[in-house]
Amino acid sequence: MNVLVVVAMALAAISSLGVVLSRQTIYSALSLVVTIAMISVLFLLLNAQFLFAVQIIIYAGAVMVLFVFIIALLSPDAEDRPGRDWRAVVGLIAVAAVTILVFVAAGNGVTYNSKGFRATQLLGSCTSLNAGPCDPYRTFSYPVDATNAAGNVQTVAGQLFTTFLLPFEITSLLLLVAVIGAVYLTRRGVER
Amino acid sequence: MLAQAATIPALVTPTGRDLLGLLPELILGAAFVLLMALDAFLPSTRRSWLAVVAFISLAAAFGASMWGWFDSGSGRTLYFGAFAYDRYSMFVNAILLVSSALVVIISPQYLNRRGIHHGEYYALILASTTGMMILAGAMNLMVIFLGIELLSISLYVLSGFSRGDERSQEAALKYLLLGGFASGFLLYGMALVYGETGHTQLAQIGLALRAAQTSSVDPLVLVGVILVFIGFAFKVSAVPFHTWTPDVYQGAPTSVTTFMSVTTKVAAFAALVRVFTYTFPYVYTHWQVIVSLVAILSMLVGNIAALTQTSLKRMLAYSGIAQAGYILIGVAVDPRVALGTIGVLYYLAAYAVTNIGAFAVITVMAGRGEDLDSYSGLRGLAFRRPYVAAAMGLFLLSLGGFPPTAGFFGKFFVFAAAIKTGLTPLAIWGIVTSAVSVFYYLRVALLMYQRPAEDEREYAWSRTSLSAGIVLAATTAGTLVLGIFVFLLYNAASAAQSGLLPAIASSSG
Amino acid sequence: MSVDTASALVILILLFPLAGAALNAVLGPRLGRGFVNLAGTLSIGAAFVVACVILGNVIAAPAGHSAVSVRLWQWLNLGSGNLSIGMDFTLDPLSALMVMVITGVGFLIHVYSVGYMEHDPGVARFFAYMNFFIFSMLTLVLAADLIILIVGWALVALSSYLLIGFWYERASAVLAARKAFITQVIGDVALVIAAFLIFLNAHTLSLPNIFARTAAFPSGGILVNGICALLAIGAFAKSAQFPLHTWLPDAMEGPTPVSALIHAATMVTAGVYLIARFHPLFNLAPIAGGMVACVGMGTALMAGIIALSQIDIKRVIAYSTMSQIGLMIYAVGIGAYSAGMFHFATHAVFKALLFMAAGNVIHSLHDEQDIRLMGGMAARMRWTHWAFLSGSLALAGIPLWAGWFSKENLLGFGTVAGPGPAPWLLYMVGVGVNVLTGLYAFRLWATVFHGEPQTARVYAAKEARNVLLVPVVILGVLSLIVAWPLQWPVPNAVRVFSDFLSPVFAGTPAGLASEPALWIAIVALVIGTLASLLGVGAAQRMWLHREPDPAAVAARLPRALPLLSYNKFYFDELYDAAFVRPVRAAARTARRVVEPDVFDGWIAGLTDLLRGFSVDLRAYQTGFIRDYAAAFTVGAVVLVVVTAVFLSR
Repeated sequence: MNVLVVVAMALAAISSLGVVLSRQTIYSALSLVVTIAMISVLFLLLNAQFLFAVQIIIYAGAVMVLFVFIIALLSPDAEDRPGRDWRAVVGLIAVAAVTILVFVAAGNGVTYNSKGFRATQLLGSCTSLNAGPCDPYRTFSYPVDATNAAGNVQTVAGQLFTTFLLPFEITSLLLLVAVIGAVYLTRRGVER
Repeated sequence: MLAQAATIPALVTPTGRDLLGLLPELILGAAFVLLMALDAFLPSTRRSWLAVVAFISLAAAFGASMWGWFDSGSGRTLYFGAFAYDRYSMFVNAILLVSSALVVIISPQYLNRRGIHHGEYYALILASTTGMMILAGAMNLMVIFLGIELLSISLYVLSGFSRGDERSQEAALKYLLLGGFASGFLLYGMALVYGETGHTQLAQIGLALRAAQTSSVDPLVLVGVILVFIGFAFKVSAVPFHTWTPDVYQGAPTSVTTFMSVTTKVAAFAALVRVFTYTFPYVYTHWQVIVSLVAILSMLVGNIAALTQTSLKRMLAYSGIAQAGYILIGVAVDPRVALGTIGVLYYLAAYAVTNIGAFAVITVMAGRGEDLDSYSGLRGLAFRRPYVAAAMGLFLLSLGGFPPTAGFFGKFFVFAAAIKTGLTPLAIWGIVTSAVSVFYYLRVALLMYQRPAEDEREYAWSRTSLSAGIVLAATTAGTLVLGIFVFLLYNAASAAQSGLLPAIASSSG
Repeated sequence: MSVDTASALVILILLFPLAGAALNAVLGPRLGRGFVNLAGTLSIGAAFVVACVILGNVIAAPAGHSAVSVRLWQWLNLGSGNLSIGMDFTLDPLSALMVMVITGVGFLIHVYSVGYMEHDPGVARFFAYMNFFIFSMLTLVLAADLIILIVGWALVALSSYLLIGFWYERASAVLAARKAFITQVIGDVALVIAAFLIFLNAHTLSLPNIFARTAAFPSGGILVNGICALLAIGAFAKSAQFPLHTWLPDAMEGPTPVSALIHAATMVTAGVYLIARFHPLFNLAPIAGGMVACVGMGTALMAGIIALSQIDIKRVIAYSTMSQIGLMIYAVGIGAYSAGMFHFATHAVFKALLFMAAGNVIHSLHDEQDIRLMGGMAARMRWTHWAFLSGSLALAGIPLWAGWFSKENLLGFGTVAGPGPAPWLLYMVGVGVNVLTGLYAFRLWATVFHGEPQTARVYAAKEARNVLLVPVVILGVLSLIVAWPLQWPVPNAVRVFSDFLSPVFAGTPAGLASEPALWIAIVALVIGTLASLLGVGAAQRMWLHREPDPAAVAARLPRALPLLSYNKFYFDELYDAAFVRPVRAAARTARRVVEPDVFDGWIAGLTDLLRGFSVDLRAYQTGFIRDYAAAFTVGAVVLVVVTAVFLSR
């Protein structure tokens, strides 16, 4: 499993570089498909099968197909590549530094085990907000076995209709606003 | 919790009280839809009616917030802990709604003059305000993110509202791209915090960090905290995440700049305080240095860069950056000292009323031609519009922190909190940079009282309309009232602070 | 009087003048003269009504409860022991008296102004300033917190500045306003330092609390004497006492109603009020008190001498004001607080009268102020003449006129109290001042109203119109009768006034303000009255009958005396030589030598640095998104590195 994680992560990173660096728009879009697919693989490895499916169907499927269609319709020319200057170097160093730091920080005591990403044991009495004997730090809500027992879809749905109900509803308003904004900005020739 | 996962949906549903607690947000959301529908039927000459509808809905939401203020004395959470129903959010709501209402009042005249009076404007203002109120009350990382996105997306469109104006379009694009960039940092930070604590609810995160305090703090959670801070710092335009501010403020239509210069900052600071001072107090020693550093940089760069500006909007943008630095002092003080939060709230209210006033002057005085933006456009204003010039002078004095204006007490409380908690150097730095700021504020103030040179043409200011008069009178009164009747707002801010959720720090002393 | 009633009264009395000022400033220019006149006078009239209610409430208050302090709101509070400033106001006999005089005399002067400013285009501005002045003055006398008092103190100086320089087209008016303001600022600084010292020792700025904690100030110690000396300097600046007196004659550049209101009746007596208000401290500071008494009497004498030879009608009255305030300052300096306040009250009446009557004369002569060009006005301005005569009699201290009661009462105290081993000395000077007062008062009266008319303008002069005359006549009658029911200068006679104020000054120790024995008082009364009559009689002979001719008298005096008098003891020249010139010379030197070489170096360097920095910063504001994103990233990385590397433990 460790090997798979590393491979998926590496592919995701490389393909996302491809998104940014390709001069042809269509290549960028296709690289994005790979990135999304690799991330969905990571979901799968983290025991989130439902998310894996959703990611593949919606992003790699529907959204990307739209992208590709639009690109094909508009057939934009290849972009001019901006000249490399010190900014690119600075950016690269910065990104590399942060990445390394995060890995160092995360590796600082992180263990991968068969139950998934570290510290997965659930202590029964941690539901109350009072700090009892349990240690909520290091405690994940969704360990593999319990999640599997309840069902992956059911767990997501349960969360979606309780803790994340409000965010879910806000998202609808957000999308509506985004649609109206996009329509407003792109509408032409209907002034007054 | 897990075993319940399959059974929860059948048992637990949000109650009516949850819905009622969201009344201000719901009113604005409904008004958003209503405005879009009305816009389809109203003739284009009647668009000012939309402003009336928007104003009424803002007033209704204000009423709902006031009702919430008295109803939410003890404070509780809504929607399974995802949203706070406390006086703090009601206080912030009040600032936001009053600011939005003032902007709505001055907008129709300005938009008509610019020829961009479309119905979407009011809808987007309301949507943005909704996002800000959601942000102010958010108790869940996801809600925080969505609140920020909701307010930002509306603002992206509003910045580019003048479709024929390239600078407006450029401002929108810049804001959009950099905003997305900043959202990436914010989300990454949230992910790290979630990954380390296992929760997205602020209350649970706070508890987790408190428990971890006994052992050592994981560096990863610190990286997460800092990345979250960067996300907020972008929204409040603190250095070095401020670069978008002058360009966007200058490019956007002035009424939009008026709106976003104040409300974004208020909402983002409200969430910042809730997240940092009240959720992360147990890693205070770690983020305090970062916040102080950003505050120092903001005060320095904002004030220095404002010195040589010749554009009013850019000057006010840099002044806003510096003001963000002062407010950050209030965030950087020890979370156990209530005066810090009270100072932030006072400062936000004072800043809102003063800055809206200052921007309102250049919005309502803008003539039919280009925007009133260059310094020379103000020259001689005092002889043609003496009251407007006097009001503008007052706002500038308040921004500079002169007593007895609102701005003085905003700075006073924040500095006092810093001195009380041993952050005296920060306060001294604030005072020194304030002294620098007087330089450019007074320069503009004096300009209004200079007669134009013989060969110089006076800017053709528009007439002071009733709506402009109302807004300027209200902001002038507010600036003075907050400077003279200090106890009014101080007591309210104190009450707002005392019931602030999540109450983690207080439960452990 | 309940606290609620008191707060309502305080709010009302402050609100009316403030509202009047705001209305006149904002709406006045649009709505025209009629509105301005109405808003300007009615606001003060309403305040006067409130003042009467306040007086009634204070009188009706049960014994021991005549003082009520109210807190309208807390302005600033940094916790116990720290700075705490409340909008505190106090209603007690002292403030009630001040409020009555300010609004009462103020109202009459406002009515008078309607006529006086009839043809001035800036009438809205004028009434806005005047109302604002009344508001400031009321804030000053009602304040129960030292900061609020200082705010009122400074606002009074500000409105005085605005009113002296009201005719800002005249360079002399602007200069006079500036001079007055600068002198006031000297006093303000002294007052602020005093407040600071008080706060350091008493840990409070609330006046009742300060006076309750006099234990913090060791009696007779250097601290309390120093504080009182600083307070006295503030008082001297406001009340035009030596050596801060030179602004008052110049302030006559303002319109005459301003002189009547500010430079006779109210503002210049604020110093007397301040010392009376701080009497618990002055009681502990005999040295400062003695200094105050000496300065007061010295100023009274000096101003009296100067008044003898001035030729500008308003300046003569201004110097007489200075002299009379000197007497009040003397009184509060020796601890005779209520006697000082009594003279303040009567003086406000007859001095406002004199100014307004003089204003009528000036008006009818088309702005002629030189008394050598007047003469014979009595036949042409009958009513004004009688009123002026009444005022002069009161000023000179002729029996049964108001000034006689208050001045003899005041000097009676001087027989037994005073600084140093020989209190008699200052008393004798006071008797001399009585003679001088009679002399200059009737010199003015005789020169202006009698003798041959000196110019053609005088023949054309007519009596003033009713709006200018009625306030003058009312005050003329008051100058005669106002003191009768209040206080007689004999012990155990009528003493309504001092009984009214006694709760305020109850804590004054016996040695300071004990009344003289009956026989001493009667002897002093006879001496003082004779001195006044002597002055008046001599003036009649010299200036009415010209026997002996005043010029001949002056020639027989030592040469120095008339010169000193005419040239106002050369104070203006002295200050010019001692302060203005050296400062100006120093400034010029600084500008020529020090500034370019010493300061410009680093100041210009600093500004250049800031400016250069600013320009550099602008260079980073390229407008390119990729640059912004780069800056963003670098900033983020720095912050993350700082956190992760240096802070994680």
